[in-house]
Amino acid sequence: MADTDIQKVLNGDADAFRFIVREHKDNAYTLANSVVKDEALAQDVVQVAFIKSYRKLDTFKKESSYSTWFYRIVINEAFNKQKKEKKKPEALEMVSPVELRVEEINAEFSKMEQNDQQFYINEALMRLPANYSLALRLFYLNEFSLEEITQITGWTNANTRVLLYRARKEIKHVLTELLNINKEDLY
Amino acid sequence: MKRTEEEIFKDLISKSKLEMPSPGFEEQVMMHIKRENIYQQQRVPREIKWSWVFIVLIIVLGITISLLITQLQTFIFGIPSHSMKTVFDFIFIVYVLLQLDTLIKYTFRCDEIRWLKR
Repeated sequence: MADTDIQKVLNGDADAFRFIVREHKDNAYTLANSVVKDEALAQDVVQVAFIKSYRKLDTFKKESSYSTWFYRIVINEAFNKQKKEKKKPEALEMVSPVELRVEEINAEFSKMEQNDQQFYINEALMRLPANYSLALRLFYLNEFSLEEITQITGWTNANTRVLLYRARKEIKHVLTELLNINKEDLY
Repeated sequence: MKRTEEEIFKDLISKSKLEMPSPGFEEQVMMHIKRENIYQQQRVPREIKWSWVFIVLIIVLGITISLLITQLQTFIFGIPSHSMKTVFDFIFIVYVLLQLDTLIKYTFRCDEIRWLKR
């Protein structure tokens, strides 16, 4: 478990940090990618975040979980990187057809292979503003509570609720558009 | 059974987990950390040595200033020099003791800086 590994690292066993990296790298990469929208940049962000967390591990107070504390570092790093790169999400150029309801989107998804489902949902998240995709992933994928999301992102509780509401609305819109385009045309 | 919109969203977004594409990522991070540790291990003893040099210089300078104040036999900002010397000596001694305490701690109590040696 992370707590034991953290204690080991603090006691001088640097190799125990490897287990922390192994446990959190995919989630951290997913969150970083929500913000920077680029594979290579997201990897850089996660690497820097792990190194920063290692350096600052003795300041980790254990008032929150390690993941909450660490993902805050990842997200701050990702937003800093995004500012430096000034990367804007790619916008869809077509006019949206009538927006599908989430049940209809789900029905479309259930007809697809798992890989295609992953492709469409990640493509949709890629096209959302950073805050929206981040809010959706933190809430639905990582299953953090609103309180934890406020700790990780620094948003207020009300702000998080608004972001989630808008993000849900926006992703339905983007998925509706994506599902009307051939997958090959999206590459 | 009809699922709620929340459940459907959770199901949809749960498919968005990505995997770190670089297989050597873990190794890269650990290598970086090991390099940094080696650097820290080399840097800290050097910095401690310099701190000792500076504290000796501060003590010499403090004693010199204290002696100069004694010899002045005049008023400084309206305060007699012997009173000024007492205040200066007090502040100086407290400062030096605090600095020495920290420095001795870092020099001899290795368990306090154990994290640097990992």
